Amino acid sequence: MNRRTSGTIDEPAIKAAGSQILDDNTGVLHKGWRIETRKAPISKDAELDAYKATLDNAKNLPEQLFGDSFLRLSHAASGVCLEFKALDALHAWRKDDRPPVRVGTAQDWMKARQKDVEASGAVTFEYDWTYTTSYKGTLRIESNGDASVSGRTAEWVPTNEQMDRSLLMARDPILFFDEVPLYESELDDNGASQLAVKVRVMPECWFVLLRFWLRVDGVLVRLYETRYMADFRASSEQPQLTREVRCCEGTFDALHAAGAPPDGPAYRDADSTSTALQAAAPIGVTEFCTERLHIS
Amino acid sequence: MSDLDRWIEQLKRCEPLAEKNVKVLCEKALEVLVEESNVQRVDAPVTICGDIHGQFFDLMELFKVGGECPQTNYLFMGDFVDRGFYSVETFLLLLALKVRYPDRITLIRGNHESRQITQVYGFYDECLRKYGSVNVWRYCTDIFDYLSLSALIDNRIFCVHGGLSPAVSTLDQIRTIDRKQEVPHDGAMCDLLWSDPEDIEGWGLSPRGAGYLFGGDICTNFNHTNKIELICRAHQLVTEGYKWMFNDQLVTVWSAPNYCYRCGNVAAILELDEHLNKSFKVFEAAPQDVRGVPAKKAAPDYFL
Amino acid sequence: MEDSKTDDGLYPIAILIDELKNEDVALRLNSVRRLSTIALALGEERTRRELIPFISESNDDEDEVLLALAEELGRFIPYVGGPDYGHILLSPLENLCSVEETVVRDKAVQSLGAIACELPAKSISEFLVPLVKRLAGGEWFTSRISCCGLLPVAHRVSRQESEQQEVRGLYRILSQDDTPMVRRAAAQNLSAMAETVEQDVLSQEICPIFIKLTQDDQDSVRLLAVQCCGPLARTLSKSECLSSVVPVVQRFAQDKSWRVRYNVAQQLYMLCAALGADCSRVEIVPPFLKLLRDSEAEVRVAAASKVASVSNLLDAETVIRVVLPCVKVLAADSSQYVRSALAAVVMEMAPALGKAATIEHLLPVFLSLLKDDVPDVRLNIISKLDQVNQVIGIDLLGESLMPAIENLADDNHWRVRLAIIKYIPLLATQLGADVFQQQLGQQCMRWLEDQVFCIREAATQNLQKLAAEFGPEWAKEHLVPQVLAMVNNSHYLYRMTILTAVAALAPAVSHEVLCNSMLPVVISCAKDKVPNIKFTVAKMLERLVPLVDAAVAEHTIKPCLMELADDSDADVQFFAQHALQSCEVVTAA
Repeated sequence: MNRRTSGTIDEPAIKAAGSQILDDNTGVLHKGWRIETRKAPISKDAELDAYKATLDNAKNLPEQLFGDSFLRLSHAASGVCLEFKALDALHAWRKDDRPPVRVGTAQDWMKARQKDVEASGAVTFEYDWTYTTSYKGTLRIESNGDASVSGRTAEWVPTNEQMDRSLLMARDPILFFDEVPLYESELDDNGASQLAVKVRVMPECWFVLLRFWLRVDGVLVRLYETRYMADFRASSEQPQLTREVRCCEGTFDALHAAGAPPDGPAYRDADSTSTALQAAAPIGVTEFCTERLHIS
Repeated sequence: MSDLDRWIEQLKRCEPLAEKNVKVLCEKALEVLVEESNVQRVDAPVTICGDIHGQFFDLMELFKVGGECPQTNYLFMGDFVDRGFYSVETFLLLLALKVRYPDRITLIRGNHESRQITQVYGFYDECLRKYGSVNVWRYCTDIFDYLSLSALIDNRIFCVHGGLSPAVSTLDQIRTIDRKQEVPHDGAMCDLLWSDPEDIEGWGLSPRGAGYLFGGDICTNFNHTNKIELICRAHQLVTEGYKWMFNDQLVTVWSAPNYCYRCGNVAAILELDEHLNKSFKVFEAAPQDVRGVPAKKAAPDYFL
Repeated sequence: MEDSKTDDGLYPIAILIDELKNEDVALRLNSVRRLSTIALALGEERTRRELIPFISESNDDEDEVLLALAEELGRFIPYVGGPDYGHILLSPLENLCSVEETVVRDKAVQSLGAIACELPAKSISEFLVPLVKRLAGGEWFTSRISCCGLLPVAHRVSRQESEQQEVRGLYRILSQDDTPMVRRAAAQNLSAMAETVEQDVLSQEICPIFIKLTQDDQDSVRLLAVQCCGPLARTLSKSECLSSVVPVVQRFAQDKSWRVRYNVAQQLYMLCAALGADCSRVEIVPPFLKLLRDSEAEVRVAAASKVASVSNLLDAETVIRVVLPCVKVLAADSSQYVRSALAAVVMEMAPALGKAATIEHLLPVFLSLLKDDVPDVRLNIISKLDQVNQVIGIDLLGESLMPAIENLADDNHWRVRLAIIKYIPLLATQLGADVFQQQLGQQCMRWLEDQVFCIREAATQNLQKLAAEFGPEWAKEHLVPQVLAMVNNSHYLYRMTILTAVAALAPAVSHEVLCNSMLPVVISCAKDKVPNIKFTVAKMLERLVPLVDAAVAEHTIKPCLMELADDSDADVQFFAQHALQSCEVVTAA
């Protein structure tokens, strides 16, 4: 009953930037952007049942589903609104419909039970129980009744321009920081699957990292990262948004052969997995692209 | 006061036992546990608890709500360790109570009571951190092998950590399992600790390629064959603390509130009186000041 | 140290010394921890001649080894030949003062401080002061940080005025260092510095440094400087406090960093204490009110939690006129943490206000906090009710609170119910038997059947206190029959509560009631079919034995326990035997 869930706010830095703190410390108003997070407890069983219905009658959902949590970044002048929500990510999971991964013990397990399985007439449920999602965030244009905005469309177009690393590396004050878990599953003790988003708002930019991380013990690891950056330095009406998608995955065997550490503590969480995967790159990288937001 | 009573007092303060005392405790526990059946007979009244996962201060909260052992009889359905910060203190306290009051508390095995799983999910690391060696982990995991697989209350309520197995249709079949081993990858023993109920007909195979799912009809048949009215199990997080399935023929009980210190869920225990009347006691995580872990605000970092 | 190996008597020592150089950190650590053993074996002279120089060279180790070393050296004077040789230890510690790891440095400074206190005057001048000077001039900022920590000690132990002057000069220089970390260390040690100097030096030299630090452009430096306001105010004369500390506090209260404002909010009451009521009203109250209305909730939390401490140092009129309006606003603050902080202290304002003002102004505030949505707020209020009670008297308190208490008695959160139960005996004292029975009698019985074990347990203790308060006759009429009637509950845990309640009431009732009404009920429970009830009977009988005649113990209690000692259940046997043993002790006596 005594849990603080708001992000971390640097009040003097916000004031110095001439920006505002949102009511109840849920975020900031900065450079025309409203950046807001909510961190709620995991969804109750009844809510989960309702979600299953909207998700094409999914049999199972991650047992720790933060259905009411979100990160939202909206830009009033352009109507651009970028949102990160567990349910949207799960819609993508259902749509992706990847073939199920088999756990390390699957073969032995099956062999030992061949007779039982046949005798009991057990049916295999085929769905992606790892909750792997290609979700990259939810983008929409909110007109809010503003005629100049309605009718606009926004899309991501490939670009050769990379994000400005020097701006990201600068030790400017962090006006607002938060990390929002969206869902997590223990995969019935066969590893971990996790989707979470982090945000930091700086005087000259904001930066978001959405990360899906999966470890199936003894089998494989996945790390799908989408980074967003808004650069405030250009004097433009339109928001300057870049995103970078980077997906890595591989079996522990293949990654280890390519120079990454073997399965074990090196893959304890998303951060250490990221480090471990760097040792094998470019082996394991399945997707890498940079895009800019084009509004018309 | 006996050593054992002193150890119980010490553990209730969340102070781990010295390594040599853990060894003695485990030796005594072995003598008690080795006598138990794979389907341990338990008399009502008894209070049934689900996963605890090393959340020591929440276990203390559970006792505040349900009553202290031995005044209240308890049955814990496994998963004492891993994930929380205090697996060592949690398991040793329950084990010490078991040795001191074998008729007042029953401990059955969860899938986390295994050498393999504890090396991945925290208990091994915790032992190493707290004792500087893995001896305590060895003593404890050796004891895990002796924990009973299930319990039967007044011949009416069957309690097990995970669920049913296609290899088991009668309780006698469970009684014949040689349980004194690491949880195997195959066989009925593995299924009892790992399988899940699911809204299906018949048996299902998990998409993972290992693990059974069982439907309502399977549960009905099992209960009918064995003349029991209810299967009580743990193993899965249920956000209200308990969840009925299959027309009240099965219930899942979960006893780790605010799971992993961030889920914000409530937990429950199932109190059975001597007439098998059921009442669920729902409880929240221990408050900050009791737990002594400061509220964590996300620390800003220059992540890339 | 080669020869030590050849000496058989010193062989284990040779191993320890060898381990000091071992590649394994754990072994080196072990060896450092036993440095005193090595020194004892080597003797004072060889320790000075061989061991200390060897150690001085080994400051390129893991932090945990260095930390252990810094700690050991602080206790090393006896091993090098006493205080006259203490200066030998300064050199290795000086090295540790400039390492990168803060914990190691802090420990080294602490150890240096301990050694400095034992050094003779000659060594202070000859070794310590030059050491402090070297550190102050150190190129790397770490040594200058360490120096700040050493200066207060150096000043205290120096015997010569010229040395003290030098030390203060170093402090002044470091307080203006280019590196913020060093200035921070200077600010951190300002209070300690202030304590070691004379009054005139304090105002002439330390105060200006303090003021300078409070104007630092780094938040973190100002933050630390502000923490000196309270301690400084206590040391300075009132007029100096007014001229140097008060303006700083007034400015800080408007600092742009909320952390600074937060710290000010915590310091203000110390200034009130130093300045007195009249002066505080003019100088301190205005900034305090500002902080109570701060835009940042954390600051309001800090200010609200000091509202009683400040009020109690002011006159009632000022509190009523200016502080109370703010308190009323805080009671409805949007942040639960502010309300919670206020709830924890608001009752403590009652003595400062007096009865009439408390009734008029404070009562509405805590009645509203008592109904707060957040359980923590309600809890904080309930736990302080006795303080208001003392001021306004129970009649009025009862009248205003009773509806709220009836509400909270069934609160969803068991901790709130628990807090209420703990408050009941106090309420009983004040209400008197009749009013109490009428208003709360039934509630006290209902708690015995609460869903939560520890509420039931608290309910039994509550009955014991009520019986003690209202006497045996009252208990006989209003508690005993009601409690005994509940012993047939179909649920063993509730029967157990009743047995506990009976044992709790036993010392407070007449012998006749105990033996004729209560004991038979307890004895009859020995036939219960639940073992837990049977061993509870044994435990409760054990408590009753000292309260009854030897004859009753012998002819009623003992036979019952003997029967239980033969029970098939091991725990029933155990507790019955245990009770029989104490039975023997009591009847023998």
